[in-house]
Amino acid sequence: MNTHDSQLKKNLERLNEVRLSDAARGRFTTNLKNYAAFHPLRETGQGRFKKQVPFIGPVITLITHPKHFMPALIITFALLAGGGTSLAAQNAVPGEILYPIKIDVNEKIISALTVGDEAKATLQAKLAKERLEEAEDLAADGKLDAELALALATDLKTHSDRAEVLSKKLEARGDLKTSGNVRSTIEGTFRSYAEVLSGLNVGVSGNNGVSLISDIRTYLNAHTDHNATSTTELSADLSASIKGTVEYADIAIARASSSLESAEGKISAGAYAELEAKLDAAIAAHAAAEIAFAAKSYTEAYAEARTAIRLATQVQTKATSMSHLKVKVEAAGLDLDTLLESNNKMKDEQDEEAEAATTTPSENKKSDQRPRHSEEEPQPNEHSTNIEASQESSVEVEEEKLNFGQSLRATLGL
Amino acid sequence: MQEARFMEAFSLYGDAIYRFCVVKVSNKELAEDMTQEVFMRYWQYLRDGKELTHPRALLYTIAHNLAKDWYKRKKAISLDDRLADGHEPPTTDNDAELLAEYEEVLTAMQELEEKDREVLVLRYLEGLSPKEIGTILNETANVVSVRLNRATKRLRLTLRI
Repeated sequence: MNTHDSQLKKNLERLNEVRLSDAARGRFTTNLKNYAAFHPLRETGQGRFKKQVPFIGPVITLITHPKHFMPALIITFALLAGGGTSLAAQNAVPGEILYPIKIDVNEKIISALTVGDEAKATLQAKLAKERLEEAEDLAADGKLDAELALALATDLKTHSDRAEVLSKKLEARGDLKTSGNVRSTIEGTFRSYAEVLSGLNVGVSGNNGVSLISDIRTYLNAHTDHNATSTTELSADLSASIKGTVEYADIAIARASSSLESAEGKISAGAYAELEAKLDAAIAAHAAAEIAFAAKSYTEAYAEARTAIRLATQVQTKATSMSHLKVKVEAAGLDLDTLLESNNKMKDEQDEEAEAATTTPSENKKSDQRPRHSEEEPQPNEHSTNIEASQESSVEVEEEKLNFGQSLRATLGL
Repeated sequence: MQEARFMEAFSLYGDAIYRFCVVKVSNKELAEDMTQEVFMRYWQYLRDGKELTHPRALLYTIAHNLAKDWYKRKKAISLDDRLADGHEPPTTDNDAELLAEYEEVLTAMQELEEKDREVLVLRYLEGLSPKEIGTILNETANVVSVRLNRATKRLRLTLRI
């Protein structure tokens, strides 16, 4: 490098002073972390983003169930031939080209390979949750129109009905553990999604999903009724199955706790506190279930365990859902807490009656000792604080959110 | 693991990419948005399972392509407008003489063509070789060398070096 080049380099090096400001650096660090969390790695992501068709399933079927040889062989070939498409379709939502593959190929293959009423009932609960996640994604993107809402409600009813039919069969056979788990999981899931979707529907989707939310609540009430009628006269013969339900409640609480921990810092302090209180209630219900079981009060033990499962499912579903939604909703310049607050004001009394119908003795006892944690009655102070904080945000913060929102929307192709 | 690598890349190259974007678009806020966008797109590469030991070249390539898209949509912003557009001298240094020099260099740079600016920044500020620059700009090393030579002469002339 000659003298002139050195001089030029020296001059240009003055541009090294051009750096991101500390504020911008901090802001970008947070935004990029959120972005990475919102778009987990495809290969190693956990939970809802790790949806893969179980390629090994057909192979195992070939070995373990020779009588299913031909169907399994056909399915294996189908998966091997179209595996890429099949995998890609797993993240599709209604209205997308690959969605029919997800519904008509992937899920039918999985259903065909699922053996036994226990596994089938659990699968129907999972598929119902999948439909609700799709509805949530569509609502958050403002793409939930009346036609898609109707299609989702129809599919949701199919899964819900099938789950209930299978639960009844299991119950009749004395498998209270699976029937209780499926029913409580569905109830907790439906309750959480009905709430989240209500907020999104009004705030983002132009109220297009109102019929879907109404349907979800109808199915929810049907499950609640089944739950209420199926918890009578449990004999000691069923103690093993009831013990299984109590143990499953413990697992559900551990999962909810993990989800809530992951959501810390991603959701508002008010929402976190609300879910934490609900988790406490689940823990208390589980403790009551264990005490009742030890006292051979099986009916009470079963009811408490199912309450624990339902509450834990609500916590897990809502914590995951809110973490997932927060970035997306805020990118659109909206506040998730405000959306959910508006939803809470609009809730109908039907839901509250349903909640009251499934409230167990331990919940009634605790209601006098701690703030009511139900999603039907959020703690007013927390929400009003959130709204006030939101209103008091500086113009700069709003602009930052808007800028990030624009970038994110562009990236998401919205 | 990948998340840590991703944030490390931002920590290491955030300023350099921002600088590159500033020189390309002459607008602080737009350069900030572009910088963030560059890293979001980089994350998409990582999401697809693509392993990159040295992400710098990819980051510059993404930034270059983003700027190219931006130029397609907008006319270049004149130097006179840059303050109004949010372009600011560094705030960390209040030395009047240094600020004047910074302004002088920036002014001289803005008078060059955008293609000249980017090769100068990549060569002299970021220390990339003509071959590396060629990879980023999708040009041969020879084309880059010719452009670099021409840009250097023009900048020298402007700065009276």
